[in-house]
Amino acid sequence: MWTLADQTFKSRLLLGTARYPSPQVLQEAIQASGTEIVTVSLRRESAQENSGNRFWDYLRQTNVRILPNTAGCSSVKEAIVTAHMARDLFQTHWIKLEVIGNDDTLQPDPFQTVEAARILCDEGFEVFPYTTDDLVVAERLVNVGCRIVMPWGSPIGSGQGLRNIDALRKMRERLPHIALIVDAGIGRPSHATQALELGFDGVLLNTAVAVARHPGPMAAAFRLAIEAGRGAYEAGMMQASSRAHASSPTVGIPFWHQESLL
Amino acid sequence: MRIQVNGRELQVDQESLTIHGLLEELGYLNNFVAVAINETCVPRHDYTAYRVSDRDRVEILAPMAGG
Repeated sequence: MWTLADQTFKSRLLLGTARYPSPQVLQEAIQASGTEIVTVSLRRESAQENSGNRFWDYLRQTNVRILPNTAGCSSVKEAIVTAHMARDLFQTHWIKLEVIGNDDTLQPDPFQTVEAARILCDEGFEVFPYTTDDLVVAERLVNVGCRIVMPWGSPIGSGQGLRNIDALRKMRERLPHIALIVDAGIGRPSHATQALELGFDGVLLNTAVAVARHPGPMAAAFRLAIEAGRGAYEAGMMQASSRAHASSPTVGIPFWHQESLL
Repeated sequence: MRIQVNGRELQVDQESLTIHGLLEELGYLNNFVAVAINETCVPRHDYTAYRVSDRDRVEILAPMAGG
């Protein structure tokens, strides 16, 4: 069990809901992953198609907590309006804040992210800011009221894993009381294990499960990987050494180390 | 009046409509949506009071899959 934004959860996996082959596969993945929090976005709805509502009907059946995002926003103003609309729609003060600064790399705009986070925290939102692994930006986010910081491992949807381990490790050391969640770039279960071994509180991922050949079993693999990483972190891992150390005791080695047979 | 709904120009017969009335007119009444007028969110409890006026820009958003 762990606490995130004053709520208690068993799972340390936050799962995105995009790019699944069908709503049924999404439901299966949610169940297999054990996640208790899923992200959703807001998009223009056509009254005739009503696709957003059908998606919502499927999602509601899974009984998970909703973390709406501001994906697609590239200014403070857009992010704030989207957050307000998400709060009105989902009746939650949780918001995953994304303010994109570069459409090619999908890199967050740190300046506008911090400014939007300041306004939303002041308004009483629980802000989950998507940011890079830059420590100073993370500290600014904390200064404006964020209790959670979500640095990327690598660019969104790239599946490259944790590209800057040192920066992530440093962020963990410097922000010991902040909930740190690796958001974006996780491509395989071992990447998630690595994040948890570093002491990160959780991971948020989407594409790695959604585009797997079998999303349900992949979601289950991520559940185990995250449990393993957290278990290892809590158990305290050994330090790596440049020298070999025999694991078996050296005292009493038979046959070839006999001192004297006479 | 002439308004913009989700980026598209729209001619509405009435001179003034509440948001509730507009959602009904456009077929959204039973849909799970959030509404913003001129880039400001209007909470659902204001739908029957808030009146849409000529030249307003209306955004109607619904939940969608997202990461």
